[in-house]
Amino acid sequence: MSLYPHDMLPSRTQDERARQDFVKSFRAHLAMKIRSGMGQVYQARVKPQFEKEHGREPQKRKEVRQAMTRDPYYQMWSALQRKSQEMMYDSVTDSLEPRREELIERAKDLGKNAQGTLELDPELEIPRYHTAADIHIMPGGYHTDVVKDDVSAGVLYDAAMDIYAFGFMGPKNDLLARTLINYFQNQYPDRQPATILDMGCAVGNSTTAWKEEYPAAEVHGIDVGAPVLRYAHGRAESMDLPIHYKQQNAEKTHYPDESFDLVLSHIMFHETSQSALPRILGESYRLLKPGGMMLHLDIPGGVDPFSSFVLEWECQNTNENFANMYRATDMAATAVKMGFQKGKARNESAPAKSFSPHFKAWPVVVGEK
Amino acid sequence: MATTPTKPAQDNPPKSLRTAKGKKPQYFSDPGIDKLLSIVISLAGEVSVSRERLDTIERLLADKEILTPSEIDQYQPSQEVESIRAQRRAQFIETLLRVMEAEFEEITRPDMPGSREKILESLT
Repeated sequence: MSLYPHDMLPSRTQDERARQDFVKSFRAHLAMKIRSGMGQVYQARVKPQFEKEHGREPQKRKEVRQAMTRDPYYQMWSALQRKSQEMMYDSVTDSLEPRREELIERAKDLGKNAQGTLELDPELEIPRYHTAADIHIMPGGYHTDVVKDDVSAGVLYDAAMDIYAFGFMGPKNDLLARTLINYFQNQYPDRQPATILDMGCAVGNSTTAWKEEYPAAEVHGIDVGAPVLRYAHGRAESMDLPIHYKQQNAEKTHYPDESFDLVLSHIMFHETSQSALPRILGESYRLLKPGGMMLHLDIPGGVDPFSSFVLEWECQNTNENFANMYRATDMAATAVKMGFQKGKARNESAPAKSFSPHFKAWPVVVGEK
Repeated sequence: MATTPTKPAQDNPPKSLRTAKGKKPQYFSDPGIDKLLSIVISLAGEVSVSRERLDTIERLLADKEILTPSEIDQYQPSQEVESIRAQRRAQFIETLLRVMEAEFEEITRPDMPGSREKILESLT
């Protein structure tokens, strides 16, 4: 399966395609075969060794980590996993680099007769949690322009996501939006949102899914990265989905109070910071109309020290630096601190809409105003 | 390696970043093993790419009844073809040894954080 052929994806030569397909197959093998061996290694030799040394089993994620990082199987799996992620961005860059100008022009052309809008803010300060290290080890992160009017970060993010997930995000990379839509429609079948905001929208892979589902709604997407938004705008227009993309920080947007029926995000919070997280929840409350609803979906955590250790891999190894701190946060309690009425914010769980390896459900913080 | 030029490339489009800002973890006791593994996997990727390309060529040639295997064995490259191939080999080797450049960039890029702890400190 390949990505839905919208106009913002670079064409690929035979070799470029084969190189990306190799990484996709390599990652699928690591995820579906090699990764599961870690549990066996832990049970068979790492945990017994720890018990011999300490007279008890490991009780904390940190203890599992210290024991596992000495194990040769873990070392090899980690090194291969990290390598596969580096190759993923390299292989997309190979098809992007020679076609960068062509893609920039295409984004501009698509913007000319656009039904949606794009508003960039060159003065916007990019938060430290984006500039301190490149999240996902994507070179340049979401925010770096290689050249003027760049769309490169968008191409990298969108095309690499398909390789990252070896296709299970779906041809439009919208598994998470479909999961959240499915949850929303099952739980609240009577709601018909007329105004929707998608925070931290990046390339708009989730934003477009909401617009497809609610074509009459006015749908907005915000992000701090200009190159991902230029790409998102071109992508949405080429899919005939009018969406309003704005370069804004979700901690403090420019929208007036009570602007939206729905305020959403998809795997955004774990890429923010300790001070940004409550501010975004407070901003969500401010932006909701009375009777409106926020739905923020993010990454699951583990249920015991070992599974927590396995799930923190991206935090330790590919610059999802805030992920562990996000997981330790009670989102609903924080939402109440930031303005939601007690009992009106809840930690919920959305069953995955289609196959997603390792995760059968995704946590969602729901808040009603 | 990225494209298939019919003549040596003349222009140099702006380069993308190839190394992520952050602290690259070390997995093995000897950092040389990390690099060696990285190189081997890059090589495996390129072998896979080449096999698919050859497969395409062989299928097209057979479909069109154009070439026999002995004709391929007897092929003599011109000087121009040799120069294209030299360029491709250089690019191929650069891809294989990217991991060395990444280490170099970690040392030389002034905005590289020295450790994960430093990144976390700045996430106020």
